[in-house]
Amino acid sequence: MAEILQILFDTYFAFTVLYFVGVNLTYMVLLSLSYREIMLYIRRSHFASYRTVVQSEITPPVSVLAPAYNEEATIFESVRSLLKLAYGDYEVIVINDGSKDGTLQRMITEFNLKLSKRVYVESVRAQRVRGIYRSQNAAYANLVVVDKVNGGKADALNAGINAAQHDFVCCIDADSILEDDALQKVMKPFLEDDTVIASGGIVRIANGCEIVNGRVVKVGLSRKLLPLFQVVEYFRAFLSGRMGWQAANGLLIISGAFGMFRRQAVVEVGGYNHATVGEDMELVARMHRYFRERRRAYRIVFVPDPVCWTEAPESLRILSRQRNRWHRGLLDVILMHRVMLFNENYGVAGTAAMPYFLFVELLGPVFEFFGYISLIVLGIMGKVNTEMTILFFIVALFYGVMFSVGAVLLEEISFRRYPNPKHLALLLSMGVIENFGYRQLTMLWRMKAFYDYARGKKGWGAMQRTGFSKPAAG
Amino acid sequence: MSITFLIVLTLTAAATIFVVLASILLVLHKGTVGRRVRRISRLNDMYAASVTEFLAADLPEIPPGSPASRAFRAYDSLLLPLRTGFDAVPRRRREMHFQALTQVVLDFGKDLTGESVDRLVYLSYMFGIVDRLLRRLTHRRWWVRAEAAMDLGTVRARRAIAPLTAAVEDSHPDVRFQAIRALLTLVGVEALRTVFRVGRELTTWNMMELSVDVLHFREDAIPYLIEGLASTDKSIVLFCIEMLAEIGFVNAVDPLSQVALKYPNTSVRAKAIEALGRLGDSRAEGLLVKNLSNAIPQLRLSSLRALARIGTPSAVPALRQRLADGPLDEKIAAARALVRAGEEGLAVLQEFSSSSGLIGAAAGQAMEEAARE
Repeated sequence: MAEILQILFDTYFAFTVLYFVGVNLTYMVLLSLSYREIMLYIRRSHFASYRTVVQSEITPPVSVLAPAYNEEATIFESVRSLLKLAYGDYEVIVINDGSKDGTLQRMITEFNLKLSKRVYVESVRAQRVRGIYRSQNAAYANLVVVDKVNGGKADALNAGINAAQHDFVCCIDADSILEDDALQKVMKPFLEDDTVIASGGIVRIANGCEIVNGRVVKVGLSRKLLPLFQVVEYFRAFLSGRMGWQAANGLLIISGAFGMFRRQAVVEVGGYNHATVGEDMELVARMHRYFRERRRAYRIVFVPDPVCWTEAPESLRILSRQRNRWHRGLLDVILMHRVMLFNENYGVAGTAAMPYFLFVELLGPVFEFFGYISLIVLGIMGKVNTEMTILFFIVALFYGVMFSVGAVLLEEISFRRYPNPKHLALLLSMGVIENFGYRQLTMLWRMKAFYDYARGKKGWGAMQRTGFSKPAAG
Repeated sequence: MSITFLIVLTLTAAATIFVVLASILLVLHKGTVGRRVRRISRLNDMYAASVTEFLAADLPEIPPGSPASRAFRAYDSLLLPLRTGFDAVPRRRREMHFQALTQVVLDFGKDLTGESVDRLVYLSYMFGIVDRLLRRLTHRRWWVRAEAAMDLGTVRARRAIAPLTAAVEDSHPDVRFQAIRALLTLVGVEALRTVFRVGRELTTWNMMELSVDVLHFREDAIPYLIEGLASTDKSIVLFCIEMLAEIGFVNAVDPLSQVALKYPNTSVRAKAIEALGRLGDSRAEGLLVKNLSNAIPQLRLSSLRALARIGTPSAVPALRQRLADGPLDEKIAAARALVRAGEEGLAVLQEFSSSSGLIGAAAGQAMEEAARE
């Protein structure tokens, strides 16, 4: 029995080593691709005159969709800041998803809304719309409010897509802050290439930033550890992850907090899926699948510069719920689109991106968890190869640090949103420290997600936000 | 401990130390960059003051009819302090000073007009700024070439016209586009002829940026835009159509009508039809009404949108048909066109607004939009 166990653990150890090598090779490739793409983007941006997007009559109009649920306290400031974006012709469609508080009433009062006869056609499935409102105030002429029965974020976005009358829809979170030029920058790929069907921007952590009247006026870092770890994580995910995948047209996710789509493409694939909490990734995976199956040319891109600022969870409880939800959403997407796995008919998305998300993002916590379990059992049996174990941990730690630091360096050589050298030093330190406890914690949360998924848990959980809006002084 | 363990441990430790050192160096570098930026900023301020002095200084009296060289000799004398100061800079710092002076020239070049431009151009030639930019226009890296093209337009170096004309056919789209913009600045509206003859593959983004430049020429651009309608490149034709509509020259109705009727590409024809609507000339009405029954949906929709701008009572029967029978986007466009078609159109909308379904919805929305206006 002990011998069998030994063989099993040795085999598992060998597998872990191979897995580790494969994962890190993938990270290195993604990091290299990302570096190349970011440098190309920066060079091209130098010649882009974004002001002309605001001035030109050719600029295509956009519908900005912002689902809102129980946001009475912040909805006025959020919508007001959306109405001041620097873009030519756009409409803001706020979808009140059956809020139980006074979200709708506050908007009706503050924006002088009245019921409208605006055409609403259910091109994609959504819960019943109770009414569509427009403002009587010319200053808010481009505001549309859709009031509907509660159905969740995906359902609210679908209702927004149905109400939109422009060819491009930009899906955002109502409580996120878009930078003034974000729409201009995220639209650019569509205006350079007719095959682009979706484009995502970067989401940055607003905690620690100075925000006045719904605008980030000074970039800063939080004094708390959790948001700092998340800043580094977001750099890894966006700058080195998504930038790398989009270079190979294998981008499988556009953040629900900030994404631009060709409306017709979204309608063709059926809109957002209500049956998953990973609706943002699921839509993009379905778009890949739909266009590949019909052999239609398409591109899904990530633009590293247009910024959406969002509030990151500052408590372990809320953060664990968020990561639990993300992992359940990922599991949903992998299962729903498992036909794409290793299937060359789906290009890079099927042969590389989906397997990556399966083996690295989804199952990575599982392998890591059982690695720790194996170690404990071997220790109890007295069969631990101390040298190899120490070696493995050191190498694993090194690579973890290297990729975190690499992501921070990508930020530093490209956009430099954190101008202070102290900020850079702090982020680099976080890139090291996060490997001692924080990553292990996120691994446990993601393991729990499997258990919750098996139990049939589907909801978002309560996501408390403190809000970060502050009116101007005086 | 085994040798393997020691080797791998050593390599890992070395790599870790390397990463840590690189990180520390980067933090220090950030500080250095900050100091360099401040130093360059001080240099920029210094040269900005000197260049301002040069631009603002009074010229000695030059009799009318004097050759240009007389003015240049006068500029030379005004430039003497700046040149003396620049020549006194130690060699190892000269490159930084040159870059600061170039940046100041480029910043000033964006806004100056009149005789100040001549002075600035003269300064650019005398300090070798133009020469360096011309060399960079043939650099192997595309972003260097593109920046050189952009900057040559900003400094208004007429000697760059021939190289920029060649650059319009560069292999990289960004270089081509910057060369086009620079030529428009240097040569003026006549550059459009060259641009439309050799230019290719303009993206919508390019068109947006170029439209802001071309609109400055207003009616002067019309002959060239009409010429451009005959281009073999679809993007050029689309751009010319858009500009003719934007400038609003009603005599473009005939050439645009020809494009709307005969061009082999549907999207170009649709664009021409919409442009006819934006021109708002009644001569296009017949063509627009005829296209309401076109078999191609894109052309029908464009005609509807065009009629929404013109407002034609004679189109009411056809608009009524599209409101009743067309898909949603045509219903909405037809309803909006009926709003502009006078009393008859409004009567049709009134009649349909009580209908159920999409017809009533489209009619109701159009009437609400009209009331809001």
